[in-house]
Amino acid sequence: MVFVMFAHISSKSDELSRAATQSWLWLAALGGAIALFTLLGTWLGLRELGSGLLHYYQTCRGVLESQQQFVSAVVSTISLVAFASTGIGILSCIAEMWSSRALVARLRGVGLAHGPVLSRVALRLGLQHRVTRVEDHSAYALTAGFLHPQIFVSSGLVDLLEEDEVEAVLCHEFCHLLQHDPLRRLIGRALRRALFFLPVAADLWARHLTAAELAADGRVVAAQGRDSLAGALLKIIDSEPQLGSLASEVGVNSILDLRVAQLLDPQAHLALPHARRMHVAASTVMAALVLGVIPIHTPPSFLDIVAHAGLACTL
Amino acid sequence: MGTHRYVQTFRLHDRGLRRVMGSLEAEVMEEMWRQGRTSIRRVWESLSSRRTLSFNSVMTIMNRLAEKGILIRGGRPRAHWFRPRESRDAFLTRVSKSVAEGLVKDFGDYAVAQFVAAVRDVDPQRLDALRRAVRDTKTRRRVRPR
Repeated sequence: MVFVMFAHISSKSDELSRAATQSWLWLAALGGAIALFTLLGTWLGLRELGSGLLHYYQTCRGVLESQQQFVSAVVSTISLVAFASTGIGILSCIAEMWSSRALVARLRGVGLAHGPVLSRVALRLGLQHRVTRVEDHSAYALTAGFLHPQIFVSSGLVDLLEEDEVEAVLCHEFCHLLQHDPLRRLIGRALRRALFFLPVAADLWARHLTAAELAADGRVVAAQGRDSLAGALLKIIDSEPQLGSLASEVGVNSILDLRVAQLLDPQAHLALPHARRMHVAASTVMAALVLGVIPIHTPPSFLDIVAHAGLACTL
Repeated sequence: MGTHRYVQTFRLHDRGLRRVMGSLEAEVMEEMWRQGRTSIRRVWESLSSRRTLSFNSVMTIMNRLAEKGILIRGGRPRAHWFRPRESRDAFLTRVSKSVAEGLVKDFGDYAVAQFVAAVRDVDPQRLDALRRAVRDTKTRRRVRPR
C-alpha cells in the first residue's frame, strides 16, 4: 500500500535523494582512498613501513630533544595520519555497530503490542511487521537496524499525535527504511570521524543528512499533503523540554530549520549545505600531504606505492 | 513503589517475565496471576505438580516478592494470604517503560534515523508561521460545507 502511495514521487524529492546519495558516495570515495593507501602501503611496502615507523620514532625523539625541528618533524611524519584515519574509521564503525545493535535489541525487548491506533495505521500502510511500539512516555520515532531495519515508535508519540499525523511519521520513517539509512549512517559517521583531517568531510556529511531528511519529508508531502506531517513535527517540537533554549537568530540553517522552511513552502528551492571552497582547498592540500603525493616525507608514500606497483607489474 | 527496582538486571534474550526476575520467581508470579488471592500451600501444590519444589522455597520466594511489593500479603502469621499487586499486563508495561525510558537519550546520537533528532537551532518565526498555516488549514476544513 505504501509503495503505491510513493509511486508518485516528486521530482524534487528525487533530486534531494540523489544529492544525499552523491554526498555519501563522495565521503565513501575519500575514505576508500585513504583506506586503500593504508592497505597498499602496508602490503607493498612492508620493509619501507618498518623503516618508516623507525623514522617516526626517531623523529619524535628528535622533536623532544630539539623543538626547532618541530615543523619538519610534523611534516615528515604526516603520512601517519592515514594510518590513524583508517584505524579510527574501523574502530568507530565497530563501536557504533555494537551500540546500535544493543539499542535495537533493547527496543525490541521492550516492544509491546501495537495498540489500536498504531495497528490501524501500520495495517493501512502495510508496515505491520516493520513497526515496533516501545512503551516510553517520550515522543519519538526512529528507524534502526542495519540488515533488517525496523521502525520504532514510542507510545508517547502515539498518544501525542492524531492518527493522520502518526501515519505521516510512519511514512517519513519508511523512506529512511527504504534507503537503508541506518546502515548508511553507520558507515557515514565512521567515515566522518576517520576523515577528521579533511574539513570537506564534515560538509559532505551535513549535506547528506539534510538532503535525506528533506527528501523523506518531500515524499510524505507529495503523497499526503503538508498538514499531517507539519502537525506531527510541531507537536513533537512543542513537547521537547529544550524548547526554551532555542536559538533566536534569524536564518539559522539547522536540518530542522530547513525542514520547517520546506513545509512552509514545498516548492521553494532550499540551499543544501555545500562543500565550502576553503574546506575543499584545505582538504586537497591535506590529502596531498598525507598521501605523500608531495614527496616531502620518508616512506611509506604514495610515490613509493606507485613505484612498487609499477615494479611488480614489470617483473 | 519502585518497579524500577526489578529492572536492575534486564536479560534481553529471555522471554516475558524471565527478563526481569528469576525463573522460579516468574513461575510463582504466573501462578499468582492465575489463582489471584491464594496461599503459599496452594501455589506450592500447583507448582510441584509440574516440577520438584520444596514448600520452603515457594514460601521464601513469595515472602520476598511481598517485600519487593509485587505481592500483597495479608492475614495472620502462619496463615498468610497473598495476591498480586497489579495485573500481569500492568506489571509488564511498567517494567518495559522503566527500561525504555532514557534508552534513546542514552543512544540517541547513534546510527539511527530519528524523526526529530535534535530540537535546537530553529528559527522561531518560521515555526510560528508554520503553526499559523496549519491552524488556518484546519479552520478552513472545519468551516467548509460538506
